[in-house]
Amino acid sequence: MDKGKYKKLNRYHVIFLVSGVMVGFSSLTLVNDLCPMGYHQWVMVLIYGLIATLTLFPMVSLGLKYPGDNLFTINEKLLGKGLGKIINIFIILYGVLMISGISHDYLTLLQLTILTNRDFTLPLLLLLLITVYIVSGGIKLVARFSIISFFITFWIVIMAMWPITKGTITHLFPLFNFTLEDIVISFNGGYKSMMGYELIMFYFPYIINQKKAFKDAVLGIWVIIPIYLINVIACTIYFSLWQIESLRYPTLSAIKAVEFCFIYRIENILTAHWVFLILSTTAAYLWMTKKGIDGVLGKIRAWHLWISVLLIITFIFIPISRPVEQFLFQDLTLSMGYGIILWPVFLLLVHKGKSLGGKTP
Amino acid sequence: MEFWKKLKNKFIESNMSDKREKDIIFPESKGKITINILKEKLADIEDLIIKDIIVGGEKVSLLFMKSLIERLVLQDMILTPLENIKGEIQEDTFKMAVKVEDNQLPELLYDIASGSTILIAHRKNLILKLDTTSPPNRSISSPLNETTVMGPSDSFTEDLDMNIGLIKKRIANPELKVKGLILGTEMRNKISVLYMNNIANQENIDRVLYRLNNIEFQGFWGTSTLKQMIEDSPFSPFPQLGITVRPDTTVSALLDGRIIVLMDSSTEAIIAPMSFYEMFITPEDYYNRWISASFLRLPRFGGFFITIMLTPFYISILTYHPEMLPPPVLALLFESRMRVPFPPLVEVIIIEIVIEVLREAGARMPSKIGQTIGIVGGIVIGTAAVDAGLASNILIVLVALSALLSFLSPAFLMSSSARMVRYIFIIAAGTFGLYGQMLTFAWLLAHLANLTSLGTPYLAPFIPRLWSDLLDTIFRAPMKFIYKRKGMSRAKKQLIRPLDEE
Repeated sequence: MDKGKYKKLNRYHVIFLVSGVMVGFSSLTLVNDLCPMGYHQWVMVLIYGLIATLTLFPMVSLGLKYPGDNLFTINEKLLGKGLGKIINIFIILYGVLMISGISHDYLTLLQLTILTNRDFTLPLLLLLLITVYIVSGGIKLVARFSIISFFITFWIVIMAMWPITKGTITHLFPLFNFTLEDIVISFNGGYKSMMGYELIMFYFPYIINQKKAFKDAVLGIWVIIPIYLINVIACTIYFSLWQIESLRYPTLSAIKAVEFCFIYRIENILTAHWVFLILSTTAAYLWMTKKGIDGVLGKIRAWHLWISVLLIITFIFIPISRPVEQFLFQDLTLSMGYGIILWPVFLLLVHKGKSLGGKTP
Repeated sequence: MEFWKKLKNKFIESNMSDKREKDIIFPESKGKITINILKEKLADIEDLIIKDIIVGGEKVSLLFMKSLIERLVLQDMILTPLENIKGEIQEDTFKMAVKVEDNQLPELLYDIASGSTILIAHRKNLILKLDTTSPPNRSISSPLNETTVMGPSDSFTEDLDMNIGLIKKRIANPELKVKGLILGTEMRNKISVLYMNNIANQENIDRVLYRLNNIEFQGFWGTSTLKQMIEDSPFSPFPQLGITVRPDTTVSALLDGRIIVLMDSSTEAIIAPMSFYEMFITPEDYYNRWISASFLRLPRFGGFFITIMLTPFYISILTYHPEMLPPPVLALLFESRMRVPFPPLVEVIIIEIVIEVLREAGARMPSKIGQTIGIVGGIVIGTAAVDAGLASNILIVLVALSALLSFLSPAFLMSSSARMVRYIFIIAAGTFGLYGQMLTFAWLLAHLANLTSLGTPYLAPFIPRLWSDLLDTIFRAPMKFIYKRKGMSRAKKQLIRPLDEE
């Protein structure tokens, strides 16, 4: 696999990197996260799409101003070495928490469904080992794996036919019986399932056609939105409001509607198969953290990858209470994610200020 | 990773401290070449013949290896011209003779060892070399491994010139280039690199030649050994270059812009580069109608994935997810396993190993006994194992089906890889059920996506896709619509035929 700093990501890589990283674990809980919106969840998915598109614009603008640098380097250029490194450490921490949260949540789900009464230490280590293997191939392999994951898990979307045909279609009729507060709560609850497109700021230097990067990334986002829509529509049609609020993984439960004479419990296959989507997300974040550690330590070393892995294992196995865990893997990660999504706006302002002062780096 | 790189470089450097092969084999010799020196250097070689004859009053010595020369050739090329000589031996006495200089002793010794005849005219101090090599060869026969119902039924032999002839008979074109190399410090294998100069990608040609020229090894006893030395990822369980014994497949590859490596004393040709999906394609796919070719490709390609998933799925279901099976099927399974004392993982491994042993025994024995062993072993041992309660009859069916599916690939190396990879899946399924299977599958796909063949992605044309390639993948479009060479070749000329042709 070709490594090194040269442009290697074509249009398809960009599209599927954006979409592949977004569909992580949170898309399984998306319907439950959006329950304050009731049967109007599909509206929120469209809003997510619009907001993601809008927030993508400053990211790509920043990238075009510094075409050869990732966000770590840009931070150091615009904010100075010291402050830049501190910000970068926070970004690395965000990546580590993201991977820890996703892996932890997914393995908890495995424990609940297909690996009951099993300790998840070894499954987690294997998951991280495969992630490391993918990342070792460089960003191009991560992109290729995202493409593979997208197509190999596409059957899940087709499975949504069953709950849609068995459900109550009238659930979709727009009554607009939600408040602004519901929108805000839902937005905050479900936006984690959109996280991942912000990584474009890190692999931007590797994109071959940077001028078309915005278009491709938007395409990546809008490849996922219809899939989320199908998921949300299938669940809202199939379940009652009470069920949506009570079920943590409505997507899995909706798949139970699928009936074959030769096999039952399709959701078990879905849960196991979801590992592809988990890997494409964790691999991209791990690649980002590795790049960050390279930048902070000022050297490019393969073993930097293991620093991230060690941190992830520490975060997962550290004995902490459930609320602290919730805070770390959900609230803090989400807040940091928002910060990173909005960060290029601030950096663009700094860039503007510096260029007006004649100090463009 | 860096540690390994450093270690590898250190190892390479320590090996490179020796001189290059050419320097080792052919150092400059000092002094004159005499018959005594040759006798000394070629001592203890039983089949070396040193014959002194008198020609025109002059003593002439002949040196040759009788095991590598036919009497008729010797008679026609040397003895008859010698009888007709009037006067002294001259350089032009023999039409095909080459004069040997005094500094060419090492080369001369290798030439004698490979079947050349040396003629020493003592009075004139003249040494002539004649290529009289005629090693034992067999005639062209049908391919044993890559048989087809339709199409030509000739295959390569162990003779390099004959193999090149089989190709040139089909491509009578000056653009077909043949580059010769000598490899192996001890064996000195003759290697030929063939390519279509007007089609093949120059980078690919250079890469193959560079890799071949940079091998330092004692010698190769088969093309498969050489192939492993020039592959991109030596640790991968998957073959990254193609192997064929069929001239028609070789010609098709050449016309697609691939590079062919032939070796003397080997019946196989290396095709470079080669993609994963091409390992499941047979020449018959192009002799068949498009619809039947497409239909037959599907089980061949899908068979690879089914063979690595079938028995692991049995383990997963029985060990971790019995609720996934409908009650009648589950009852059937449990009933068949009622007397089996082992867990599914152990049961599967035992039967898989039995199948592997049967296959190996069948392959090692003479063909008639091998067939008997296969049938007797398969039926008797299978039935006995079920009766004895060592395995369930359903598992016997699954393992047999799995074994058959693994042999669907025309590339023998790929079926071996599939069988090896299956064991990883079996252990993963036994340890973590479906999750283990899917995680291993993710590793497998990541590994395949990471592999390259001569620098070209191994998963081509799926990743990176080339729209025109999709007309000839699992689905084969009618020949009329295949108008471009495969992207894998990165050929100089993309089009096979004009687009506006009727």
